Amino acid sequence: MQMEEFGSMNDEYAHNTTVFCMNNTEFIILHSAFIILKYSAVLHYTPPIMTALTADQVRHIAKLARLNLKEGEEEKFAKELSAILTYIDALQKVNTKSAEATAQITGLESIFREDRIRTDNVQPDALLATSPLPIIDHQIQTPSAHGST
Amino acid sequence: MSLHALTITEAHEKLRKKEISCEELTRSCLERIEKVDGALNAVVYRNFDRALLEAKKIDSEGKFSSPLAGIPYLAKDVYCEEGVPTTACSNVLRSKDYVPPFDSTTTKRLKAAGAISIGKTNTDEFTMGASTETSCYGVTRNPWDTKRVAGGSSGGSAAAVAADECIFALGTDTGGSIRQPAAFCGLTGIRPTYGRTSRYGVMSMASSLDTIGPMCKNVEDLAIVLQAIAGADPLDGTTGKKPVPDYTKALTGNVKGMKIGLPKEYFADGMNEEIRASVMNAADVFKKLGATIVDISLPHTAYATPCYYVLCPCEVSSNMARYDGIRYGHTVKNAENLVDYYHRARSEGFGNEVKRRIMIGTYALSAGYYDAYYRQAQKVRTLISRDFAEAYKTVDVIIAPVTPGTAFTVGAHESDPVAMYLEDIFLSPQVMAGIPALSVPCGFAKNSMPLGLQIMGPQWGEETVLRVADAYEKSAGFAGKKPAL
Repeated sequence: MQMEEFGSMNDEYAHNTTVFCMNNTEFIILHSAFIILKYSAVLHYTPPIMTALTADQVRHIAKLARLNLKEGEEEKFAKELSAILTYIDALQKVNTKSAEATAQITGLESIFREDRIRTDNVQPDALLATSPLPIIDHQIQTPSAHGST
Repeated sequence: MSLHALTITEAHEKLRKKEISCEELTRSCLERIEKVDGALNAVVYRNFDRALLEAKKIDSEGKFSSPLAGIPYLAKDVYCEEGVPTTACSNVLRSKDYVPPFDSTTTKRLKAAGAISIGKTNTDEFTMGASTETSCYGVTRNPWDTKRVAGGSSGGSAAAVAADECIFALGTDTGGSIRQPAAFCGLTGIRPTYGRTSRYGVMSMASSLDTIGPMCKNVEDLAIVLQAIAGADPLDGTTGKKPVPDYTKALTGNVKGMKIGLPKEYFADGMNEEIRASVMNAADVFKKLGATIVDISLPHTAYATPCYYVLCPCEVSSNMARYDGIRYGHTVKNAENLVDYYHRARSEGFGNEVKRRIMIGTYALSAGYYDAYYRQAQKVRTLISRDFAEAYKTVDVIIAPVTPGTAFTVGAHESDPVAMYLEDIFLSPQVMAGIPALSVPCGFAKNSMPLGLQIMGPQWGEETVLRVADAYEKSAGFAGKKPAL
C-alpha cells in the first residue's frame, strides 16, 4: 500500500526503495521528505488574490485560527475582512522586481547565543504558576487532545 | 506649581536639593490620579502601595545622582513587571489577571535608575488600534476634550502625561502608537530606531515592527528616559549593539546649517489645511534658526499603510497563537477536547479587532498566499526603506505631520476598521524603514485641540532628531501648555 502510494508519486523513488530495503527510521525520514515536497508543490501554486470573502471562507479561516464564530458573525467579518483585503490589494500594483524581501530592518543576521537554560531571570515553577489549569509534577494538565475528557 | 506638574528635570532638581521628598512627589501623582482619572480612564491598575514603599526607601537612602531617582512613572499595560497584574487590556488575560513572574528589560532598567512605577495605563487590546477604544476597560478620554479620544494605542499613557497623573510614561509604537496619541494630547513621544530599546518582557504585537519608547512633557525628558532604557539586551536578539550616546548632550539648541526635508507626498491636495499650515509654520521656525528647508520626495509613501496592514496582521496571527488558555489567561470549563478548549478560550477572550487581525493574518499566510501578501509586503518594505536612505543622503532630518486631523470623537470610526487604519497614513513609513521618529507639539487647531509635528531621522539618528525637536520646542513656545481639567 505504501509503495503503491509512492509509486504513483515518483516511480524512480519507488524503484530505489526496492533496491535499498529501508528500515523503519529511513522510511519515516523519506516519507517526511515527501510530505514536504507535496506541500512545497502547493506553495508554488498561487491561487487568485481575492478581495471579497464569503461567509464559508470566513468560517474556514476562523477554524484555522482556532476561533469560534457566533451566529451572524461570519457575515459581519466577511464584510469587514473584504474591506481590509480591498485596501491592502494596493500592494499588488507595486513593481518589486528590484527588491529583496526585508525580514530584519537594521540588517542583523543570525544572532546566536549559548544553548543554556537561564533561570536567573525567572524560575520555571513561577512560569507554570500563571496557568489557569492544574499543575501536576511540573506539568500543566490540559484537556485531552483526543475525544472527550 | 503642583508637584505632579513638574518635568523630570524640574523634579530632579528639587529632589536633589531636598526641597521636596520623593514621597511627596509620588503622593502628588497618586492624588492627581484619584482626582482626575474618573473622567479620563487612563490608569487601569494602581500600584500605589508598592510605589509609596519604594518612594520612602529612596528618601531614606537620599541618593539622587541618577536623573530618574524618585521619579514616578506609568507604564502601558503591556510591560511585564514582577508581581504587578499586566493584561494588555484584553479579556484573554484579564479574567484571571495575569501576574508576570519577571520584569521587562525596560522597567528593570528604570527601576535600576530609581524611577518609581505607580501603575499601568490603558491601551487598545494588545495595542491594536488608534484610539484606545478596543480596551476591555473601556475608552480613555482626551484631557483637552473628554468627548474625544486620546489616540492610541498608547492613549492611556498620553492622557496620563497630559493630565499630570505622572511625570512621564512608557508607550509602545508598532504603527504609530506613541506618536499619534502624543500629538492628540499635546506632548512629546519618540519611537526609537527598531532595536534601540529592548522588547523583552513587553507583550508582542508585530515582532519585526514593535518598538519601546517614552512619552514625556518635553524633549529633554525624552532624552533622559531614552538614555536609561536604550542599549543592547542579551534577552532581545534584535537589539542593536551600537553604543548609546549621551542624548542630553545632543540638546544644544543649534540647528544652524542643518538640512531639513519636506516630503511632498505628505502634503497631498485635499489634506486638512490646519495640519498643513502647522508644519509649514514649523518650517519657518527652522529657517529662522538657520536651517535650510529642502523639498524632497519619498515615492512609496502611499504604500506604507497597506504594507503595514499586511505585515502586522500576519505577525499578529503568529504572536496571538500563544493565548490559548494553557500557560496563562482566560480558561473555560468542560471542554470536549483540547481543540475545543483552544477555540472557546480564544473566542471568549479576544475582542473584534484582534480577531480581525488574526484572521487576515491567517488568510494571508495560508498556503498559496504567502508570496502574494507577506513576501510582497516585505519587498515593498524594502522600497520604502530605500526611499528614506536616498533622502538622508541630502537631508539630516525630515519633518511631516503626525496625523491627518486632530483627535476625533469617541465612536467616530466604530463600524469602519479601514477608516481607523487611515489614521496611520503619516505614521507607517517610518515603521517600515525602522527609523526614529518623534512627535512634538506644534500648536492648536481652531477646535482648541493640540497639533503635533513629526521629526524623523536616519536609523540610529536619535541624537539628531532630539536636537532638532528640542531646538524647535524652545523657539516655538508650545511646550508646557496644560489642559483645564
